Amino acid sequence: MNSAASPDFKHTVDLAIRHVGRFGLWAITLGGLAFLYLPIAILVVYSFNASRMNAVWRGFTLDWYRSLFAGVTESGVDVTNAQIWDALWNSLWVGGISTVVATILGTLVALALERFRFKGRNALEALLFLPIIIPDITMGISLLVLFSLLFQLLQTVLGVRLVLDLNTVMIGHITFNISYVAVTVRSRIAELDPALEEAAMDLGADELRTFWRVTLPLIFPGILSGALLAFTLSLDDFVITFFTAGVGSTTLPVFVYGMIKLAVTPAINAISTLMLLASLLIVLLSLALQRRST
Amino acid sequence: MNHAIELVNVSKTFRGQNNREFRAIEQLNLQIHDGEFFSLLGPSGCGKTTLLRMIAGFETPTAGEVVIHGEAMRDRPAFHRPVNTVFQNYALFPHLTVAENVAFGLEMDNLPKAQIRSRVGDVLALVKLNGLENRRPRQLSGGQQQRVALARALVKKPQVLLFDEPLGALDLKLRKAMQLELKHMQQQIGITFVYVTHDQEEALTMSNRIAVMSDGHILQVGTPTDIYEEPNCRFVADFIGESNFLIGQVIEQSMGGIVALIDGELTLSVPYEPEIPVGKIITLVIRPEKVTIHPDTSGENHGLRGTVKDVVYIGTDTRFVIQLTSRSELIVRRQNIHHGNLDTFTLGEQVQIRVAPNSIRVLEEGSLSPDIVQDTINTPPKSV
Ligand SMILES: Nc1ncnc2c1ncn2[C@@H]1O[C@H](COP(=O)(O)OP(=O)(O)O)[C@@H](O)[C@H]1O
Ligand SMILES: [Mg+2]
Repeated sequence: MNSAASPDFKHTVDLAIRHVGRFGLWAITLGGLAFLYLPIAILVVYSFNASRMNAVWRGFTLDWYRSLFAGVTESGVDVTNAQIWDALWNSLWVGGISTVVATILGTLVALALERFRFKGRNALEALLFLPIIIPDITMGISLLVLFSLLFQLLQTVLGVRLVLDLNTVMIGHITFNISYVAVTVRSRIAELDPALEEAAMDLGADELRTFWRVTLPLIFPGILSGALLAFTLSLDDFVITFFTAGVGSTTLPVFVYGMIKLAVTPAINAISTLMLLASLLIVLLSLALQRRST
Repeated sequence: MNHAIELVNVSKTFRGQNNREFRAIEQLNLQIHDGEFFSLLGPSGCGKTTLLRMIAGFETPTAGEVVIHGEAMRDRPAFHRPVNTVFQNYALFPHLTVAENVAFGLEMDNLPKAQIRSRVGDVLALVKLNGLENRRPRQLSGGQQQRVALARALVKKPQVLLFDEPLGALDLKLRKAMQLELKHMQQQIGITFVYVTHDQEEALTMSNRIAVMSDGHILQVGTPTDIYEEPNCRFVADFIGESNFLIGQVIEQSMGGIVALIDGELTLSVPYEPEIPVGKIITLVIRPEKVTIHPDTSGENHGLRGTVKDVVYIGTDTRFVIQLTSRSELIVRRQNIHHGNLDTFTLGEQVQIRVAPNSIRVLEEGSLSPDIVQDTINTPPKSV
């Protein structure tokens, strides 16, 4: 019984070390999470702040959200809600169309790269990664230069006068989204067992029916997550939009930036919170789709 | 007899990276009869899958013709060929249920819904999968997936069914059971099965005829008995079952038999009809189970003798390694019919060996090391 004292003591020390270790692990994890999410949390909290000043907490209110929908708050602040809704609509329109176009083209590019051996395949593959790698600002400026050259040419040759507008923004978004979609879809096609398509043909399906009945359903989760990625990227994009947008064709991020230049009101917090919520929902949806398919 | 499949001078060359050519199948001719269970047997990489894929229509022959039921298949895509395939890893559609997988081929033929439903039901009953209609492939065991793959091909009622190592992924017990089941099913429905395997026991168990392949060529075609009892080359004898190879030189031919000198030490008389020049190097193939060993009590100067070099008990059999000449050993297999009632032999003991001359197979191939050839010329053989 006496000799048991020493192992007991050792046991206590072990336990203590383990507790400290566990506490340390938690502390580091929480610290990291705080660093990542504290700014966002503050943004969300202050979107409910009754004070006009971001720094002081004056109690809970839904005024800023109300102002987005009603235009005028009890305190009489006009956040030019018609413009916000225009910008939001522009964002959704650009995001929607560019997503659809980029998804179709990106999927075709992915299929071509995975399934065919053709001249210039390696070059295409390298080019595909370019829009992902090069800085947004380079991409934005090059698009701007391209558009102005093109418009100048059209004007001198055909006498048609074109200006930057929502369509140019859309083309810009399509160019970078094709790459993201193609890369996402391609990894899905690479995982696809070629024997499955052979099995379909063996059972009497021609190329077209094999594609609709076997290939497409199996790579569809990849196409969908590519599309959701493209949509979020389009909604979030600031730099490329900034360079390719014309007067009166702003998207939500560009509009919010313009508002900040005038005054930082809690209404911006409210808009940002709503944008955060929308992005979160899309990402969750995409994750859920991917999980279901594997 | 009708040919279900005929391969005429078929070659397949793959062009790999940096344009290097690789000949997977070379100038191959083969006829597969209607209604037979035919196996393509050979080691991994010998071209079995390539051959099967050319029949199915997934590869185009570089030269030659694939003929199915009298019709040349050139330019006929896989989806228009009267054959169906059971794939190596089953290739079941993961997004479809068992019933949908099986119905797929019938839907491609645009059959009416009611007919599809009844045929799917019938074939699922045939492969004993009733009740699993609504499962997805990943919710099935390996054996069940194998049955779905079989049902999916069978439901099309093809004239020829192709199998690419379909049992490779199953455990030994299940594999043995499925071998017999497939064989019985083939006898029952009477269609042609072309079966690719690298497992010689599997091929012997199931087939009416076997083609033994090596390096893109067919070495021998025949019934399991032909292939085992009368291999036409050393590769076949070595690949199918176990063999002893004794290399020797013909020193005499007379009356439908030859006398061969083994390793310049030992003479053997074996029956052999074809004309063969004296001096020709030959290989004698002796199956281990066709040899018996006996205590060397006779004292006669007659028959073969050797010394026991090794004894290995392996349950059903005991294997003896006998030193026959200074260069050659002979493996002998004895079935353990009785227990404790058999002759025992000790290491180093001299024993008598008996083998019926007509169970020794003569192959006109092989090479001797030069010093033995010298010996043969200079010194007369010992005795027999
Ligand atoms: N698509 C291909 N491209 C290049 N070489 C191939 C291709 N398919 C098979 N081969 C080669 O052909 C040979 C035979 O292959 P295969 O028919 O699969 O053999 P087995 O089925 O008998 O194991 C192998 O050496 C393999 O590497
Ligand atoms: Mg193979």
